[in-house]
Amino acid sequence: MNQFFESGLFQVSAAHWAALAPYLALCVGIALTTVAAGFKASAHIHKILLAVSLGAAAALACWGMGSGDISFFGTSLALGDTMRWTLLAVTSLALLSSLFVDEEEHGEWSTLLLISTLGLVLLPGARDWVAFFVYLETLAIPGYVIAGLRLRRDGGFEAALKYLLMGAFASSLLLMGMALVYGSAGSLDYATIQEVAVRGLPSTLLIGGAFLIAVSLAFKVALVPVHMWAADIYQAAPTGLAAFLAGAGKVAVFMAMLAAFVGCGFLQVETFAKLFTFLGAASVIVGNLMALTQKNLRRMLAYSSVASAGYVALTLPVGAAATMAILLYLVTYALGLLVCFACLEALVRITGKSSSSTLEISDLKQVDSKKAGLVIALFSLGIFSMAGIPPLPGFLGKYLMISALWSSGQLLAAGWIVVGSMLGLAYYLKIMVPLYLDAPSANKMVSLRPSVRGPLAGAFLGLVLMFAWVWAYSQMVAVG
Amino acid sequence: MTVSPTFLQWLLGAVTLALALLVILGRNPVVSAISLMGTLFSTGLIFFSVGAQFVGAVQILIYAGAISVLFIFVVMLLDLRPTRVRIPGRAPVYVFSFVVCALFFVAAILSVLPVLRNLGAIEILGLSEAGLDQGPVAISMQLLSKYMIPFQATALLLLAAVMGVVVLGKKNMLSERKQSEQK
Amino acid sequence: MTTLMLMLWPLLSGLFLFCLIKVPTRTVQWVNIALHLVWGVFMWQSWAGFAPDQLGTVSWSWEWFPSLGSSLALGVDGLNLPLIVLNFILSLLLAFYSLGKEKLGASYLALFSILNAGSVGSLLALDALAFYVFWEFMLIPMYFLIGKWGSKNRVYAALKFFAFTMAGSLLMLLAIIALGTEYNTLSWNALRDAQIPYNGLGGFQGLVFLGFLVAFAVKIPVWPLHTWLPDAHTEAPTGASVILAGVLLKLGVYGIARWCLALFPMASQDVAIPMMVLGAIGVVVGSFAAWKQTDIKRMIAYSSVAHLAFMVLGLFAFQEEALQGAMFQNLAHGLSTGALFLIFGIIYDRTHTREISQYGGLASRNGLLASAFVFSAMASIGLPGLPGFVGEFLILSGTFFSNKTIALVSLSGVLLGSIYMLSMLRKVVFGPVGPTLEAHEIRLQWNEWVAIVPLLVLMLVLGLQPQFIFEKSKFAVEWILALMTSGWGV
Repeated sequence: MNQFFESGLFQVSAAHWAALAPYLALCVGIALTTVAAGFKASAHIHKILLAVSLGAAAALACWGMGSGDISFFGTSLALGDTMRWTLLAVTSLALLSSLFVDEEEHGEWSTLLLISTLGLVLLPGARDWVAFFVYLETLAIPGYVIAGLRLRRDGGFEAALKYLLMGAFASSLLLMGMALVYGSAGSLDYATIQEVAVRGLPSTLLIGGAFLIAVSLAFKVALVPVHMWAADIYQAAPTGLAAFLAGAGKVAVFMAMLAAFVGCGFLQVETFAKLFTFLGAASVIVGNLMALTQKNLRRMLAYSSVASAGYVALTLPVGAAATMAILLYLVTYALGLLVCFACLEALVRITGKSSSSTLEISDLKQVDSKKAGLVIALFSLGIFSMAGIPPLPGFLGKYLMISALWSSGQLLAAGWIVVGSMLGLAYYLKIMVPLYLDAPSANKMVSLRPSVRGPLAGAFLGLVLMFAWVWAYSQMVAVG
Repeated sequence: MTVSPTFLQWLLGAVTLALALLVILGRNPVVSAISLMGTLFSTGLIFFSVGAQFVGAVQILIYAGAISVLFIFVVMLLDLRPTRVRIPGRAPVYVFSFVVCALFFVAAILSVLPVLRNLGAIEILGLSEAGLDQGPVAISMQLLSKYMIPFQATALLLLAAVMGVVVLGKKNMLSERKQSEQK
Repeated sequence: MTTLMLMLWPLLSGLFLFCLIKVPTRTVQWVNIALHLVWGVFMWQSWAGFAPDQLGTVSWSWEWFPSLGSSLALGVDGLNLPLIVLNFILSLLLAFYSLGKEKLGASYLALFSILNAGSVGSLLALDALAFYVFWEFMLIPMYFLIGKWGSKNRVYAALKFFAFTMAGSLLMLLAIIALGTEYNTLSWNALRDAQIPYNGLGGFQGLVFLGFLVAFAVKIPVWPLHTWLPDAHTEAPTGASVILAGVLLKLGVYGIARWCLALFPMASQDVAIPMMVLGAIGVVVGSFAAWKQTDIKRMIAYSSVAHLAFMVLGLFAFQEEALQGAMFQNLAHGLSTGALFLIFGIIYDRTHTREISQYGGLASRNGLLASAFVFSAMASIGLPGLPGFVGEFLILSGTFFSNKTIALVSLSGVLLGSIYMLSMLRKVVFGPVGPTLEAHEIRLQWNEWVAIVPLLVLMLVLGLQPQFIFEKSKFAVEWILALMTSGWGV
């Protein structure tokens, strides 16, 4: 027995605790919110607890930046600077998403959101598949619950059920894939698997397992052909959850995919890389074309999300060199989406609809650009940033991804991203038409109520953060 | 190094599949629930037959135990009274299930037999130095060292699951009570 | 610092004007003029401090993405200064034009300023990424200007404009990324010094060149990529039409000079003949199309296509006169077509119709305005004494040395140009008074005259004293020409 503890892998030093600090902050938050929920504390207290714990986690991640690579117990968790950036991104996105929550749901929401966030920030750090699976479930299950909280409203039941069933199916695919990988490599550690994968011709068993894992993770980020849940969930789920899934969820899962596939050496297997190029290209086409046909704003944003996941999937085969590009693109896209959601919330209160799930493009006609000028301006900036138009931050992310593809010689994939951007313009511009270009229709809008200020502040914050990320990137010294 | 499945394992596999089919095809939720219990039980037996006794035991304990709860829950939900369950007599499904159960019984005895016959096998379950690389001791060692963080995360996962069930169930019950009060 | 302010001031003005949405329109319009005058001070400083032999000197730079090899580098030289000043002049005159027009309020003026920031920025940019950012950036305010303040089909026109330009630009983006990856720098000067080797049109220089060329070809626009222009011009509000014709189209020509000819001379030589052919076709097709139009604005738009096709000829003829002529014609066309759109816009504000058949006898309704209209049309045709002549003559004489056939074909364009223009003038200005002019009074306010007259004066001055401009651009033109003729051996 002693041999385990003497092997040195399981020593925990002060540096370890310091590196764990952001995670501990989240755990403390979970504990406090559970207790608060037990005591039926007001929504205010929950919001404060959420904000404090997520903010503390983000701040601790920043503070730990540059303190080198630390790994826990061999493979449970590996923390490096990339992980800290991801931590920062995910916690800040989760924090922003939490601003959208309806008052009456807060009790359970806070704890579940924190648990899901914890799963998200642990996921990219996993260095073996067991840990990966556990973290994936930790982030997924609270998600299913939150999706189900609004069962009775606007098709919520169907959406939540779809999400749950597809998620469970994807988890089972993941397990099957893991089993096959284990069967061929004899271990679930990334390092060991990499040796097997890179050594020579990786066996069919290994490739099969890798494929299954890839498809199951593709579900989580809504890549074609497993993207069907996205439109329904983005439409029916509470705004906060939609923003959380689309933003923080995508960032963490993609970074985890990158870490896992690079770590296991899957990306060096040609067929595997081709799979992602195929998934990406399909998502770009289907996502953009479907978005064009949508009338409901949330669904349209959902399909555009599918397309953006496609861009990232196209860039994944580049490997570790594309890490910052992917992170920056996903973060700026997530923030752009957040800004749009925030503005949709504000527009809901202006047009008098019950919730932003039912906002259609034609409803935008009712908004008088003179009175709601700020909302419209922020909304446009969010849309243009997602479309990738300079000088907005979304452009930098796309530029970096195309650069990474070009440097590694994948010109076709780079071309796809360009084509996709062109297609994307069509529906982004389509939204602009009723918002700006048509004269406001006869039904005058409900006047601006003070409750719009909250979402507006959120949108503004999102915009500022986007530029902050770009600035942070520009501070990084040139790498080669 | 592949090992071809023994006859026992074929049998258990067939039984598992048959019971799984019954879960889907059974018209009565009670039938589905009991078949599910059976499926999980025989999966446990498959684990026994490949030598993963710990997992097999855990499978039976947890799944069969939990499924019993599910069974009771379903009965509660549907408010089934014993008199409402019809017994149609000579329906084909009953013949089928009788055959399946018989096979199942045989398979169960056969798979557990080696363990029973060789009581010294208890030592394999991890109480001596030699068995440290398999069995519950090894698993717990791994859980508390290498997989410490996922282990802790699982605790939070369970918290989320419990919370989720309560929250979703609570809302259902509340609205149902409101509906029944309105009637 | 002055150089930075050339771009930054309109941007800040635009943002400031957005905050003035609730302020009464008249006040905002005067504030706008004041802001323009301050901008003019910076313009004056740049013009006065300009040394003719500087090319590509970076006066202001900010290392924004060192990891991409890019910095926001701005500089003034003989290639961009005349266009920058033209931009300012047109914008200032339009600011005067907008006085008193209720619809042209704070958001319109703000978008206009932001558009100016974008166009001046792309003129000043000496770094490929910075150039691309400003290039694309212009699309947004233009889209809104056309889409919101334009006429009936404005949404379609705005979308078409955006889609065409963006599609072309995305190819340029790929080219820029390729450059950045290969040379680790995106600075114009550094790329110039790198002397990118040439391996035929399929090679690196060739493909990157084509990427840039397509983007500029859409913007100019070169036949057959010109279909967005007539719609955009017709549907846009007057101010946007003037700026579109006066500045934005010129950016395409400038872009070719700055980015294609200077960085990829060998590739440019290889496409010279096809481009000249396209130019000649554009001249003829544009002229014929203009002749057939019954919508006045659309006619002027097609005449723009024809004139700009001329400039394409000048760019690719690789003769000193032709290139000098093309750069000069940039200005000339900006002034003359700008004036045409402005004057017609003033008329349209009162009559709300663009049909030629509705017009006639403008001379008897408002003699002064009719004279100004005729004057601008003459400048557009190329009457000697007016700048259009200088430009066309130089281009044609240069092209003649390069390829006689093409020159002859394009000469016909000059003839056609006078035909359609004079025919339009006959129908609009002379003859019996048409129904719409009968119904509406054409009386101009003082600010509209302030907007028109300087354009006429400038046209006369430039027509009689073109050296004014030639001195500024001579160095740059000679340098480019030297590159063209001897490749990297310069």
